[in-house]
Amino acid sequence: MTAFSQLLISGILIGSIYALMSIGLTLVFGVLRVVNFAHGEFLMLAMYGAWGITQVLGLNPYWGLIAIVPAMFLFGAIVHRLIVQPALDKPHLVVVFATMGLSIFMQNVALMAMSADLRDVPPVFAQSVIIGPLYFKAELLLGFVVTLVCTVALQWIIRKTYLGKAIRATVQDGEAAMLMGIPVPHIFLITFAGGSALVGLAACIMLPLFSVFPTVGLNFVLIAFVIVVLGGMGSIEGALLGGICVGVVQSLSGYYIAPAFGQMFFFILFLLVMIFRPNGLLGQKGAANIGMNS
Amino acid sequence: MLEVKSLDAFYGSVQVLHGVSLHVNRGEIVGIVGANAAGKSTLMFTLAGLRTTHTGDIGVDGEPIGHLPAYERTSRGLILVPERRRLFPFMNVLENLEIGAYSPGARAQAKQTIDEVFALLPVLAERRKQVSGSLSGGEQQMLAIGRALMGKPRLLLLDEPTEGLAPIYVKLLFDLIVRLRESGLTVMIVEQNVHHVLRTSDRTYVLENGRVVLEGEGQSLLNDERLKIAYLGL
Ligand SMILES: Nc1ncnc2c1ncn2[C@@H]1O[C@H](COP(=O)(O)OP(=O)(O)OP(=O)(O)O)[C@@H](O)[C@H]1O
Ligand SMILES: [Mg+2]
Repeated sequence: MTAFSQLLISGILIGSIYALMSIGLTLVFGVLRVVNFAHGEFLMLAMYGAWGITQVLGLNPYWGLIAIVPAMFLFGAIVHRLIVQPALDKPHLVVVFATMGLSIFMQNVALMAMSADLRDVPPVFAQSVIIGPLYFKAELLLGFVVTLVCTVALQWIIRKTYLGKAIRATVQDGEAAMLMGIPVPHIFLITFAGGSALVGLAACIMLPLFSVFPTVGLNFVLIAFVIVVLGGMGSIEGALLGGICVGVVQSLSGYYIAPAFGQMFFFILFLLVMIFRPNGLLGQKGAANIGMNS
Repeated sequence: MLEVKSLDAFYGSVQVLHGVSLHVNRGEIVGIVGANAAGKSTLMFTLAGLRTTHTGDIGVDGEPIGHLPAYERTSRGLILVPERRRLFPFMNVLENLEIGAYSPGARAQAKQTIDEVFALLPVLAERRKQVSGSLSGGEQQMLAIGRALMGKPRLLLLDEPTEGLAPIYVKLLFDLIVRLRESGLTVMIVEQNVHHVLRTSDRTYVLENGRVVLEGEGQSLLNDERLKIAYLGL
């Protein structure tokens, strides 16, 4: 029983961190209707950035947030301006190939600049958190809290602020939004840049837990795609729920069945959800969009 | 107020408007009529800055606005209520109105404007928390107009506001347009409902195959043979 509780809670914690790295993907899809295939490489870049800060300044990666989040916002804005925006009014495949091309480009640049070596940072906290018979890495617990705060804050922004309302209006009817004076191209830019900033946040939370290497994005982007589709594309709460499902399935199946098959089981879960709830757990039919789930 | 000269408008390479010239004076109600596919909505969208590419001049109060994106024309006082209303269906009445006041000038006055809109359209006040997708057709049209008024227009463009409305709403709507004009607004209205428009408007343009074929003052147009020809519905 203890083993089970331990695995379940670890799964929830790790899953929430997976969710954190997926929110940017679902946000961008929900508003721009663009799947950013370079999402994983954004994560890789931000993790290298955070790692660099720990090496040069000797700070722990959480301090890196202060620089990495705004830097990724800026990076996202530039990528949007140069690569995504010009492709938006072209056939959909153009943006798919454009972001895939960017993904391959970034991997290769990283390989040249950083070699294929694994880089990591020492644990930030010397001790685990102990609750009764259960042990957890404090880094995981912190990630869980950050994810919850982030999800709630994003929901609040989208529900209550003028920017959030403009985002929802853009999603529901882009032309009508423009007629009301909403600068839709700016909304797209801010959303894409904001999604990248969230990846920057996720990278700093993940660095103490995972190594970084040039193709690290590939491993995580697969998980992120599963999470985003599981939760319902464009749903932020859905990403949290999807992330936790993936984390729990991975954790339990890895222990009780076979570690090597951990990934296989969440793809099975994925197939089952797609068969029984094709719009995802929290997705609304025909409304793969931010702010549509009421 | 509005000055349009030799306007050609295109969807890709397909030309829909051919050399349209017209003007609207301050405080006027100007009607646009024409058969289906005459290019009425194309004209409205082109004036508002959406969908088409164009050549020719569009000026508001002597200032050219043809080069501006749609969202910047709003703050110049030109606001379109598009065909089929185009509300934000998952937002409630209040949120739709708030979005109407998005441009900075209008936003600063939003609190006051919303009271004015509620006074003008009490049905919206009653239903302020209702999701707009679940309003009746008539209520939706009132909301679409209320939302546009939130943006503080000086020139309001209405594209077929009576489409699909019951006769009592049609009357309500034309009464509203007259009241808006009395409060200083200039209105340009596209309508299928020719008799109503001709009765309400100061002047009316007739569009046929993307060209202005006729212009005249309300009632006198009704008897014009050419209107009957352009508009087989009569
Ligand atoms: N997006 C578009 N792409 C290509 N052609 C279009 C587009 N929208 C409209 N058209 C064409 O432009 C012409 C004029 O259409 P428009 O909608 O302006 O007519 P309308 O006068 O508003 O008609 P209705 O009374 O039916 O609303 C039509 O032949 C239409 O097929
Ligand atoms: Mg039309």
